[in-house]
Amino acid sequence: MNNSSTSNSEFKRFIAKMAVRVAILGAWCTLVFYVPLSREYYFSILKYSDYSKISWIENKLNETESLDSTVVFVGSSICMNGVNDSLLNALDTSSTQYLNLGMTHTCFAIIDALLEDMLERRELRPKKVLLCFKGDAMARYIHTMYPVQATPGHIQSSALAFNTQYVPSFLKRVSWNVHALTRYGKYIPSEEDKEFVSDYGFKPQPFNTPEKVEKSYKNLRAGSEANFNAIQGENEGRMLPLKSQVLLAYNDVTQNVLFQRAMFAKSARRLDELNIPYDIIVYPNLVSARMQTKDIMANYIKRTFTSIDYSKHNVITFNDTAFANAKYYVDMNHLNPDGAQLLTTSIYQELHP
Amino acid sequence: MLFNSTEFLFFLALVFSVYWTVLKNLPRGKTWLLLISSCIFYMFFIPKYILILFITILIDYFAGIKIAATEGRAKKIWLIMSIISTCMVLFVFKYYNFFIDNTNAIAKLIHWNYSLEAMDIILPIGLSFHTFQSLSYVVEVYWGKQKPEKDFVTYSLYVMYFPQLVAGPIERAANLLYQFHAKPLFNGALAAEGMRQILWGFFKKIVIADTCAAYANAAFNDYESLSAISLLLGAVAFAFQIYGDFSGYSDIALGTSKLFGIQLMRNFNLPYFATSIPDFWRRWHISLSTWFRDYVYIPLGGSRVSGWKFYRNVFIIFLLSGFWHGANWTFIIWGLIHAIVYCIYFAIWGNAKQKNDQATTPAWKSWIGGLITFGVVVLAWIFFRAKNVQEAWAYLHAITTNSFSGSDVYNFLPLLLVLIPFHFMEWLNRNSNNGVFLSSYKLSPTVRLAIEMIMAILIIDCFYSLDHEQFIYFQF
Repeated sequence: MNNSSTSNSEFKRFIAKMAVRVAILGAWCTLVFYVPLSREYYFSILKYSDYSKISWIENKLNETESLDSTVVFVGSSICMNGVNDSLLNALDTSSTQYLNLGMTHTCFAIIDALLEDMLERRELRPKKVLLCFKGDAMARYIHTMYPVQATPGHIQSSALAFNTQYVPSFLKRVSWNVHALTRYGKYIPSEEDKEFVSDYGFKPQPFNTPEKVEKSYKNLRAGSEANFNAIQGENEGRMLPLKSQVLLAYNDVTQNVLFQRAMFAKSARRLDELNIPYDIIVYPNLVSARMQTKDIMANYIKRTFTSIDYSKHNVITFNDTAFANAKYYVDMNHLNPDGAQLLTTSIYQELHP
Repeated sequence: MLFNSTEFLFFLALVFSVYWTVLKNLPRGKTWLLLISSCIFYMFFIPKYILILFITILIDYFAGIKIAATEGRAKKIWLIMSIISTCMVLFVFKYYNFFIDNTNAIAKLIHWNYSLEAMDIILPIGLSFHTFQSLSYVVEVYWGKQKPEKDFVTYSLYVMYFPQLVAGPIERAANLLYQFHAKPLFNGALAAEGMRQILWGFFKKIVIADTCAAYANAAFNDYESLSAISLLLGAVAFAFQIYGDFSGYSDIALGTSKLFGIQLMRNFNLPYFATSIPDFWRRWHISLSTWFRDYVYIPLGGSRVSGWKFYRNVFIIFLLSGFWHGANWTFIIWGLIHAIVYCIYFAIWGNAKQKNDQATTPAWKSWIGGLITFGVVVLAWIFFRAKNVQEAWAYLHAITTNSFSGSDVYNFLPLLLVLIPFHFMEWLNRNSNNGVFLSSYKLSPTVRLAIEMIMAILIIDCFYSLDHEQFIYFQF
């Protein structure tokens, strides 16, 4: 046997050895992934983090016996910072209550996991649910904290949908299961100031100067504008410019976006099956308001989520002109308390025409 | 591209597969593949900076050829030109602002109305490393110890080889160039050793360094209110953070290179087991300390000169070493501390003692020597870690004036749950001559596999549950 063929066989043996190790590691990880730890443990990880609101939601639902007379808002930070549930409770003198369950980051998968927990495991039945849709496009990423809210089954289902973010979600769950043992050697900062403490789910943002908001708008608007143009083009069935097509291919028609859309549709279906009324709110941001895109987004939603009966469920949009002023924002996407007050009042009027 | 990123894992798997399958019988193709991969690797940071690297490569490549082809004055001119142009890039990007800041400060001190504008510039990644590697090449060619590399692709690869491009080891042409010219066949044992070394490197970086970083950051961010014990533990945490970080990087670099059949020099040899400061410098960042030894210390006369000249040489080396790390007085003081202790050691025990440290010293003396050495090293690291000299002094002041103990100590004591087992693991590694964990032990494959799996699971745990710290030495 010459050197070259020895080398070839060594290479094959090496690859085989590595494959065996990867398989064993995969099996180990799967085993650890399914180790059942308490919900309290997972949510306690978030208590003093930037995602403290998720832990707050868990505690709130633990304390709640009934949501029969409560209108629940679910969604991302634009919902969390934009809907003042305390104000809604004050405006509405009837027995109806309002609860903001918005959390940082846009991800329909974590919202669906939250709805499943609320509606099926806890058997809570809200009076109405208001689903959140960001004013300028689609969710793409699985929430960083999805493995806290989601069950192993949820995470595995993202693999079946070929979501490229399945592996990080899977490994994060593995990591947290190991962390239950190894946390004793780690420095856990006691950042108590990060804990979300409130009777209501609204998290007011600090004020920012309009100049800084305009700067954020200037830096970030291009992506949103391109998204709108692409969506409008799609709505009108016209050929898009190459740049928009590339952007759409990257931002929109990826497996991850399709997964997110499927999760949104699943939430709607879940609510329909339980006969829980729901509407979809298209939250404004500075770009959507200035480009006056509320109809474009409403069309987009109706065209994308065809299984929803829009005669029963409204797509709520808002007057663009009112939200086109930088004085209502802390950055391009998020409202300050004044903006939240304006939005909350608008929502109240929409719900009580 | 960061070693501790998923992109790197995919990148490495792809380059490795193409290298040993598609190009297995094409040595030239392998060289090209490694060069192109190195360019891609480098361009993940700031793509346009590759042009700067390309220009310095071009200059040193031609300088090397000209130095070898000429004699006398012309030879020297080519060497000086090469050194100046290479160092100029380093000066502009790394030291210009430091120079300006200090000039302005002096001008202000003497009430001279003079001010120069600092540049808003980002340091190219790994600049000090590949600059020194290029310098060593032209000097070796000048001394006639190294033939000039005629093949531009191979020379470019020598400077840019991605496993060691951004944080070393700072290789020598004599060790690397011949390996690029050889026609390597796949060596399964070497590749397996490489994989184990990568695993060990990731363990040191992600499990040890990143865990210690959380403690060190907590101590250095809040030193005014913490007790002395917490601050001492914070400084020790930084000592292990920087060791795990840098030696972990080196292990990943060495392991990655072994996958391509190319062996790089060992950069660390259990430095925290050193029994003296000279011993520490034979074990810490070996490629840099030997670089200074060969190209600065020995040409200055090394230890062969007598009296004050020897001490002068030691101070020059350590001050240069400090300055190499960064344009900040903290690094210079760090080097100064090492220089002072080195000279004190030399004044008391002389050179003969250094050579026979391990063999003749009784164990208890080694223990005491080890503890003192570790104490000095940790003290110097406080300057290295601090943002500026004032902060370093304030940290030291807080150690001596804050309350000795307090409830905050309970937040820092868990550090020992990490450091004691890790130090024991390092001790188990004391007879390993390649730095790979447990490589000097004959273990059954099942036991070895189980250890590897536990390490891998811990890496996954810390990768997702801790904040990731940038490799510290990337900034140099």
